[in-house]
Amino acid sequence: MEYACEINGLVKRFGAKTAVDQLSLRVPTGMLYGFLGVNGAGKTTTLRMISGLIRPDAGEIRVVGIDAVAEPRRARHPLAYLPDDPVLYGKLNSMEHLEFVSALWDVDPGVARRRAQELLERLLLWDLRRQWIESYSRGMKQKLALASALIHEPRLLLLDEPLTGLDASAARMVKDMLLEFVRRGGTVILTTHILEVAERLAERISIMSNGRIIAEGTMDQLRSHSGRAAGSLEDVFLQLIEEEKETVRT
Amino acid sequence: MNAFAPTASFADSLAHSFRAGLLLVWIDIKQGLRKHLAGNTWRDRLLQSGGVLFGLAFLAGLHLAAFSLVSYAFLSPSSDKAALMAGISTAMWSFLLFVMVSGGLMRALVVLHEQDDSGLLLSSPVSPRAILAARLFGNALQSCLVDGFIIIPYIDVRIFTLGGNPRFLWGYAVWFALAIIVTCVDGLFSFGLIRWLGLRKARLFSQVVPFLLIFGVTFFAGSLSISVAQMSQDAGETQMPPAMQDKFIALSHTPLVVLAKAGVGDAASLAMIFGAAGALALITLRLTERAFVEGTQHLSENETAARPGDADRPFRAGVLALEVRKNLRLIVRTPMMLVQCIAQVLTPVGIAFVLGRADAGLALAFFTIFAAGVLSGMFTIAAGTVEECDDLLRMSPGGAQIFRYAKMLSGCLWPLGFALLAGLGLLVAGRMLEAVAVLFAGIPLGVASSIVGETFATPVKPGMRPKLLADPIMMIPLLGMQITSGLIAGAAVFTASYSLPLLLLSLLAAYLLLVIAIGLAQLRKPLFERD
Repeated sequence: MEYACEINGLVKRFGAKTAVDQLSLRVPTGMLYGFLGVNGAGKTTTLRMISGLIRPDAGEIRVVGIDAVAEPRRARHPLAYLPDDPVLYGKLNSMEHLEFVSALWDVDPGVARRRAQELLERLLLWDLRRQWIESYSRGMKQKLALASALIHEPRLLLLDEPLTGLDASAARMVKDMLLEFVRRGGTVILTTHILEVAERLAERISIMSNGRIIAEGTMDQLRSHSGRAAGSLEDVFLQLIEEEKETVRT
Repeated sequence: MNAFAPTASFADSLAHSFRAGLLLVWIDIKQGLRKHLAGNTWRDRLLQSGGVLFGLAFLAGLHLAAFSLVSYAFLSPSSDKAALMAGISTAMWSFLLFVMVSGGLMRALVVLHEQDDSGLLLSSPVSPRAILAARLFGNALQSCLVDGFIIIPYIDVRIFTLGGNPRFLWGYAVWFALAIIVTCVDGLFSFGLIRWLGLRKARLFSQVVPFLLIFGVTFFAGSLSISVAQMSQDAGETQMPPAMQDKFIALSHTPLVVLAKAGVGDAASLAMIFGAAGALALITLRLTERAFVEGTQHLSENETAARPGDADRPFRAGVLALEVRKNLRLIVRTPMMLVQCIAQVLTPVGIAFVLGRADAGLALAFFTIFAAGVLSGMFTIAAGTVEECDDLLRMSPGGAQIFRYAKMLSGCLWPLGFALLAGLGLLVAGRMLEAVAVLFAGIPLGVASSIVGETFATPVKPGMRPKLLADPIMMIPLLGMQITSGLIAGAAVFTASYSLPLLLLSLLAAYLLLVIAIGLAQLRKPLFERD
């Protein structure tokens, strides 16, 4: 099987705190992968390490087969990272912003303009393309951030809470775009606190707590891991987290 | 086009990084221009036009001052005219270097370590070294623009007047080379500081550096110059006194003269300056690339919360008093602002010490008027720039206007209290004219500064870090306050040493300023009604 992202024995410490502790993970190509956990579990730190923003203290990361620790620049080319609080240049308009981001990934300017138009039209932002980004609502900014993640046609998309601030129709639009991205062979690793979204979209899910993965698999596998024959992801998630807390306490 | 595919050559990758670096500089410039030149209303445009006119008038005035200085020295009989002129050049270049260094560390911290877009840039395949180089280049450009007002008039005067010498055109190149040198030194220093002290303490320290430099220069270099009393004696002379000439000539024999020589195209000096700039740029890129990538990204995770400080007593009732207390607490709990304010308090001490060392009463009067003018404005800017829940204030039944007054009051409360005490102290000591100067020039000046400070301040949203003086737009009102306060303090103290009628005449300037400040405040939207 081909993997878009392989992580082995990943460790990251901030001072005395171990944010990510011996984390291992394999995400097959062409999959939408849910990455769940309570606040401070280490999800964002993991995504930042995969994207090359933070250097791990130990462990291996491979992005579409490229060693991201040894060759970070090459490994960044096929991926895009959308943080939970994405940075957009407020004094640029959306076209200028997308052209700048595509230049960072060395996309041909003509191609970039065409793709930018497609994405902005799809996300209903085309009519606002000449307005400065600072005048956009939070949802518009979130959609533009997604467009800038997709502009260079990445193979692996790392999304940290991508649905924050989106209304129902925009959230549906984004979900549809992600599923289409996956259908076309792309891979998405997505963190979210909206468990229904993860349950509906993700083929596989891992649940993190205290920097470690405490459960991983399909919905059915997670249910059997928690000893439940039925129940929603929320039920499974809360039970596993409680059990983990109990283990830590004892 | 895919520069990072396994087959991509090193040259392709280099070219892409170079293009991306240039684009980043261009984007930063474009955003900066739009930030400072954009205006939605006619009032904004009017203020901007006023700002441009003020800037042009200021630059014209500086050209006139530079011409006066150069012609004063040039036309004065001297035993060694070449050394005298070289000494004046050295003084100008050294002053530029000093100003660049003093402001550069803060700029380095902001530009290299606190840019919001680091995540986007560093997660792209562009070489981090190219991003760092672009940031350093942009920083040097900013340093040039911000501090250019010091050297541009001098270079222009030397090129076009008193016989005109096109060799002084080299000054523009040296100006930029110096900016590169200072940017690299400050950049290296900032990385070291963050490594040793952490970001919060580094930011504090970077605020202390300009103060230490200004204080050190005024005390140690300034005290070697002549005092106000001596200047008064020499005021009637049309030629530069020999004692002053000797100081400039001595300066032309220091190593700093290499700056003046490079400024007129001396090949060896140019090679030294540009060699230093190139070498420092390479060293900075080489040494700090990894720290730039890792350090910048670790800061947010490692930064610890500030301790609340000692202003923890509960609020008392009364909206205005409560708001003033809240503002003062926010200033105290924003260490960067507190240190900047303290630095601004102490800077005039050095100037007063140097200029008024022959007369303590005059020195105290000068310091008090200057400090009242600068600090009232500075504290008000600080009170108006700290994070603010503006929606909450807008919803308050008290109305937004009261919060506007509270910002002003928070700013001028302590400086004016001090001015009142100093004025009364001078009165008790029998220095009637100086007391009148402090009470009737210092206090209206402080109120005017406070109004101007509130007019320019823009609060940041909670969770955002107020940048205050790192933001060049804030430098303009502060610089204006410093110049105006210095002029009014100087005029009041100078006339106070002569007679009451002259002093009263000079006091008019402070009241005129107050009227202008009130007019300016009417033009600007209230703080909590801005977008």
